[in-house]
Amino acid sequence: MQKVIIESAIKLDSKQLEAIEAILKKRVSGKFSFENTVNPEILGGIRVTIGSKRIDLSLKGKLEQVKKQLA
Amino acid sequence: MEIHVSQIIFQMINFGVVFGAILFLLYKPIIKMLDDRRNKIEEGQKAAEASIREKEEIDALKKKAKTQAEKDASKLIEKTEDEAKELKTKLSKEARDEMKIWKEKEMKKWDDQMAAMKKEMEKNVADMAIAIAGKVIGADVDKKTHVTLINSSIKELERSLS
Repeated sequence: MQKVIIESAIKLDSKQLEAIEAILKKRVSGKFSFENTVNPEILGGIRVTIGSKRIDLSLKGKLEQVKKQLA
Repeated sequence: MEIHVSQIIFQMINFGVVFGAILFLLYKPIIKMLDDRRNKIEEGQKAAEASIREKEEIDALKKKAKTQAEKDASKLIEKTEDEAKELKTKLSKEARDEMKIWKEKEMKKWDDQMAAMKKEMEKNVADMAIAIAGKVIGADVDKKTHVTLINSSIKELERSLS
């Protein structure tokens, strides 16, 4: 069973968690256990970590991309 | 006075003897001596003329040698001057080329340094801008905005996994 960590700036409600679970079950093979952690540092949006793979959809991640492009 | 034939004959014989004596004892030796003297004088003259000719030949040779030596010296001086000019031009060109290479190197070094500094500054400015933006955004995002951002991220998640 793969552990999925969902980071958000505020706690996710059940609807949001269910939506994410549904997407992952549809698109990624395997069984999952879900964990939502609150991380204000990401500023907004979510950051999903599935095993060693990370999908950064947070505001902070977007700012980092902008920083890379500027540099 | 009576003329005796015997006296005449005697005188004639006497004269002949004296003449003969003078001829053989004086005339011929004197002539021989004069001839010898003339020959010596002639030989002396010839030797002098030969000596004068030899001297003239030597002088001509000396003059020729001197002229040739002057020509050779002049050529050598000219050649040395040309070589000196050539060397001067070559050294000047080498110095200019070296200076040009050094200048290009230094300019490139300077350009590289400036580019590195510019990149560093841009990075610092970007870091600062992002840090400030983060602080501003972090302070300004309310719950409603958070929910909107989360829903938007969920849609993006679906797109990124498809």
